[in-house]
Amino acid sequence: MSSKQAKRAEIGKHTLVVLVLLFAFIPLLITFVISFKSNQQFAVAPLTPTFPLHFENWAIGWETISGYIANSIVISVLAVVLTLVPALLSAFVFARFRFPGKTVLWYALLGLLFMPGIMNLVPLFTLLRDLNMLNSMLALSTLYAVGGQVFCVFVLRNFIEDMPQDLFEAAQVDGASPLQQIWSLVIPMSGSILGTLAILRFLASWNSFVMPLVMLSSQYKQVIPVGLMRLDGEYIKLWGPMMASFSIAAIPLVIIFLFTMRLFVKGLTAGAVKG
Amino acid sequence: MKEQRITWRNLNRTWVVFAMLAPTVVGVAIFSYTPAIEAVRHSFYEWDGRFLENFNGLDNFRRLLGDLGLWGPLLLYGFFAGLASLLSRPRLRRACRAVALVALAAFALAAGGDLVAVWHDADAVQTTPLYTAAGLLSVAALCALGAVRGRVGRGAAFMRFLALALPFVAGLTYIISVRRLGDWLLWKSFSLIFVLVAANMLKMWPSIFVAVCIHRLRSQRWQYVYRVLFVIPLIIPQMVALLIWKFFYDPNVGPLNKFLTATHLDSVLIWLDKWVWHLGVFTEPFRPAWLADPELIVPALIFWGFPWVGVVGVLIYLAGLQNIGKELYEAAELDGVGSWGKFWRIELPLIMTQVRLNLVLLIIGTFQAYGFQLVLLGPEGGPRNVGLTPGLYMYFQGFIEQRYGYACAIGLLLFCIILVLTIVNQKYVRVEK
Repeated sequence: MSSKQAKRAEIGKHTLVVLVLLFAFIPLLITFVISFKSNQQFAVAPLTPTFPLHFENWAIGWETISGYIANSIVISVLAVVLTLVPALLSAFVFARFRFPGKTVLWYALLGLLFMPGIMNLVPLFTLLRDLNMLNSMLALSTLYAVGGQVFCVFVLRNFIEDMPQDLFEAAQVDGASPLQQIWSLVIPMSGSILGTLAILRFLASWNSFVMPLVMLSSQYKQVIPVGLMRLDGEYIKLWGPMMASFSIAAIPLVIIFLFTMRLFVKGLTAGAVKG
Repeated sequence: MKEQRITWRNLNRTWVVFAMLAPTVVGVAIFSYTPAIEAVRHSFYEWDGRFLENFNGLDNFRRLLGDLGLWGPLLLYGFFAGLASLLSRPRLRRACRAVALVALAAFALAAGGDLVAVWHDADAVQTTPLYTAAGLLSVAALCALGAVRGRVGRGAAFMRFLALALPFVAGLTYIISVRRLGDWLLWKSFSLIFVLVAANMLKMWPSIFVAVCIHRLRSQRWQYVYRVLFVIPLIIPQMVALLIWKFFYDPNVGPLNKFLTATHLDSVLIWLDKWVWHLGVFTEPFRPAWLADPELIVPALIFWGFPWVGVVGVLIYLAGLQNIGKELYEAAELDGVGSWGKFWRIELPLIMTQVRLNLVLLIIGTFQAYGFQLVLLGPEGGPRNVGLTPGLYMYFQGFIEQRYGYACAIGLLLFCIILVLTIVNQKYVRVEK
């Protein structure tokens, strides 16, 4: 193959990939453009930029959904903490100790990975109602935490078993308790995997939509996906502020992404493979 | 050193370990196992979630599936036929197959008697599905013959699988289409699932192509850049992406209709509708309501997400492609294999693991999905329930109609189907090294 031909092929591949990416990004661009329009401008030219730019749309959008965003952040962060702390503890126990009933317990946990969550929705709702936990953000985080628990325990147990076991022996000889071993051995060495799991769980709870719709009834406790849906369902739509709030809703994840890009790429690839 | 051994006896020293397990175990027991057990229990109840809680035996399932006298033997057959193909010991296998055959015979007897009973009422028996069922049965018989004659190998195993699976499908066809038993909304939702799964199988390909394109780029730097760029759409909240697509389909202000009008494709569609399709959906003035017209909802759902490059899919395939050694490419180049040849002979076979995995996840995901349809079409699945999925139907029966017991029964049915899919996946779609 001549070098000219190879170069042409290379350019062809670049073009295809860029085209596809363009298609993925056009919706975002449109959202961004519309977010600066008044309804009159939108009616005249919906897709092209128009002037003057209405920056107040973003202020209105922020006012409408800042509460939802705050709720979402609280719930998701809480969910991540409530997932990872117990998961790390029990993963360590499963990796390092042998106790009666370990195998049974392990398979009882693993079985949940194959249990479709769909069956549980209705009884979960009545269970929370009977426990008087409906309409509580803490309860919602707990649900997310339990939902992600098994996967995290599974990944972390494998990770801890792959660590050099001499370390733990040495720590034991020095009289370190299990908690001390986790604190000074496991956590320093598993930063990347913990970060990846945290991001995966954060994304999952951030995007979850049916659970909060069913479990939370107060408007002021609602999370961002439900808030956006309600905004979209209003009869008279103010397109500019609506699109501005769509854009604002993405900002927290953008910030996280900027700081943890490598973990993000790794986590989404690896996590997706393991399902 | 092996794991440390811990017993109940010296609990005063080892309680810490058990305490460390407690949060996970208690959480899972309360919020995962309790609801699951409750769901199974309540699928045998008439239950409105509050006051009304009557045990009504199999009534929910009777309403859901129709005549259980027909379903029982068929399910028994399916169970034992599946078990026979999963077991490895020849003796157990033969025993299972014998039980399966007995069950099939029982089903045939029940169906036959039932058919004779309704034969007088000519309208009640639908002939086309009946022929379909009979055709499936004969194909199954042919496959069985082929499997017996054929040598041991993949082909024969596949034939045997068909010979066991097709009678089951024929029975399903008989019960659902010929006798029209059970909850027709449920069957309708399942037919939508099959359409969506088929569409999703086609929609997988662009991701594969894009992944291969990125993989074949010479410079490592660009590969990394594209990989990062492909992650970015994931940080858009799913709800935002969904609502943007909804806006895209909007009949009055949506870009799709604007685009079709601007490129004069609308007149083509109107002409096609007038002379070919006879649906009456594309008319002058051109304002098709993609998500509100019963004829257009399914096409709109299929077109959804154009150009169908799943971000996660691309990343998975890229991860698979990176494991392919350089030597393979060099050998292929020496043999003069072109780029298509490389794709079909090297890349596709070597990422088949990922493709299959993706496919299975996709099918299971499609079976469970309902949030998407709930947002777009409402709990009834749009006009004439065109966009109703099984999960959405469960949601509808539970939270809108307040028939919690019935909803639990639907959930249990879905659970069984997904469980079977998962087992089949574990058995046949194993990761091959």
